[in-house]
Amino acid sequence: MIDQNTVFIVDDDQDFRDSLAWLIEGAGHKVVTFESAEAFLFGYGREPGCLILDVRMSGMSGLQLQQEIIDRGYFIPVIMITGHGDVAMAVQAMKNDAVDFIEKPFEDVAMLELIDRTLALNNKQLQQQSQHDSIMQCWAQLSRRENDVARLVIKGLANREIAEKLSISIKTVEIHRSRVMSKMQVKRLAELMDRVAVIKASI
Amino acid sequence: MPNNLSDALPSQVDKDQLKDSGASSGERYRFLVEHSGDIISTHRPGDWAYTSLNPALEHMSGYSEKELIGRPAYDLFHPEDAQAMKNKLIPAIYHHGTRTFRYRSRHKEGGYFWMESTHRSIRGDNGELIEILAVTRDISEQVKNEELTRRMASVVDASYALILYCNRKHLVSYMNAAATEVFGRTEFEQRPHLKNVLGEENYSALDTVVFSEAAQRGRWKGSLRLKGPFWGERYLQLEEVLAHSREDIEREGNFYSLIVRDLTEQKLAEKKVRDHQSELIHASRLMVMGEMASGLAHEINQPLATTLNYSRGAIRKLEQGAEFSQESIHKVFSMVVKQAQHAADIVKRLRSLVQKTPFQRRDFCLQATVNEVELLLSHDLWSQEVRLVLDMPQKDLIIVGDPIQIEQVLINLIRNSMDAYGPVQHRASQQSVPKRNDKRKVWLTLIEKKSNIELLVVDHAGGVEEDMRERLFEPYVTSKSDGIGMGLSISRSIVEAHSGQIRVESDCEKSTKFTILLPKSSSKDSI
Repeated sequence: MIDQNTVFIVDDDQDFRDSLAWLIEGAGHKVVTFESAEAFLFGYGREPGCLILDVRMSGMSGLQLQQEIIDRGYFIPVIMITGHGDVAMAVQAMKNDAVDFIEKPFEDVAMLELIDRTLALNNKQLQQQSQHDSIMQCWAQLSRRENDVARLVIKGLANREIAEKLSISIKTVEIHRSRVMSKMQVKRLAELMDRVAVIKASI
Repeated sequence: MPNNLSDALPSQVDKDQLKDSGASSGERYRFLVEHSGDIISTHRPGDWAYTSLNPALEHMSGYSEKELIGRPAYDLFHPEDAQAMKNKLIPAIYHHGTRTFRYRSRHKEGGYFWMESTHRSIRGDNGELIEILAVTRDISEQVKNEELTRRMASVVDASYALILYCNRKHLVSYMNAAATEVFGRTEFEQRPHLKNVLGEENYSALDTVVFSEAAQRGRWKGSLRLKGPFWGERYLQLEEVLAHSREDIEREGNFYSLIVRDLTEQKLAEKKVRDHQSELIHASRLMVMGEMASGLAHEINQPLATTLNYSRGAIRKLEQGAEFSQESIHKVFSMVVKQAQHAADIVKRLRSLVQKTPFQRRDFCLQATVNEVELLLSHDLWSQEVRLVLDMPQKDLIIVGDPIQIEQVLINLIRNSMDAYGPVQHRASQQSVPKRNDKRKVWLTLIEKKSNIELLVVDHAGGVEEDMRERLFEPYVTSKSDGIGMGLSISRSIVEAHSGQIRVESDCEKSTKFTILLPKSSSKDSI
């Protein structure tokens, strides 16, 4: 799993960048380095992994790159590093969902653990994302009526109540309901509830 | 010669001899007496009244012969002198026969003048006093000169300057009190050699340059430091040597007059002022360093973090049992060395700023100083989003002085400009790709002029009001809410200590320009 992830490093201090790359490569990760935020934006191809970003850089700063990543909809967790603690910057970075904000110099073990955690989390999120995407695909196949019925089923209404609410026959409700179950690729109601829970925020 | 006339008269002149001498001889005497420039008079014993006198006295005192005959001689004397004559002189003449004395005599038109009389008693056969013959001269001029000389001598003696007289052979004949105090008391009868008084080294400097010029032109003026150790820490400086041209003085020996000044006090006072100034400069530098501390910490942190990455990484790998190739060990160590060296360089740079060193005077390259300043300020420039734009000629511009102090001036000026732009507005979440503010720039320009180097620091941060501009270099004047107003005042002291000038110009709305003129080093151009 580690092999498909890349640790991206963006820092304008070449010596530090090299040392960090050396450290992380030594722990078995694939590392790609960039000397500036602009170079990263140009070279990054949405590969999975994590991004270690120095706040202080000439040209576009770390915070500005982080914002740009959000704006472009890239999905990559960011670990911010800085030469000296700056509360305002840390707050800004964390608001923009940085995984962590750590000061140089740092413990190598702590950094490597953080990278491992971030990548694992990222993988999990990626998995969830793909699960979410596939469920959303199923959900999208429902007709309007099926969609209505499905929503009421999730709310826990009985077929009779649904028929009453939608002013259709119970028989019709049953037909829609079975189509929903098959389109959502589930057999039991509990399974349906689980799948819908994943996409709850999106529907 | 009047002098010789009185000398020629025998102390005891026989009355008969005077009477019975040949007519030609008598006439000759009378002629001499009538025409003598000296006063020749005779007096009656007892009250010392004039019995006869020649025209010289009328001429000198303004009184006529008639007015004087029968009057005691001391009637015209200054009361003090008259008293002395009555009490001491007259008895002495009775007793010894001859006396010369000085006194003040009144002129008919007022005021006294100095006279010198030689009185001789003329006695009869039985030794009884018949009359007194007096030869008198006006010695006002002489007394005045003597007094002047005496006064001069006392001035010389009391002078704070150290004054020595010596002859052509450089044998010292006189030292005033101040000189004696420093060079030690000497027996002048023995005429010590100047070499022994001033010391070999100082003497040879005097002998080669100073004396020859003084002898040729009559005087030498300059400043020659006389080095110890005879007089400890004292700062003595030979300032003038006068050579007398008069033959008699030359013979007498006071051919050269040496005027030496003891500048110890002055030098101490100057040093005190300098020390105080460098104290202030140092204190202000420390304060600026304090304000820059977080940026400077970042500069050191960077190589430290890099070193730690390599070292810790290597240890971790070793602990995991990894094997290193020669090549990778070499890489790790050379990186560690490079980074440690980098950190050490920064520390060295900081230390030179923090250290309290006496004012240095050496040639240094302004470009190198500017580069140092840029490095020191790099973090602050970054965090305040200010760009420092340098415009410097390729050719090294060399000035004389203290590079650390000039660094301090530049740091002050650039930081002022940075502060003038105000705090950075964080715009991280406003724009999709925020650009760094291109308007926040400080320009630092070096221009080589004929004998000066012009150093400009310009910003577009809003300018300075005119009334503020005039007082900007005064201490405790500041336009910053948290400033104490020492930066520019100290910068000016530093620039002036480097024989330079600093001034400020502003259009009051946009730009402010500081101009510093520093004289180029006079030693030949560096390569």
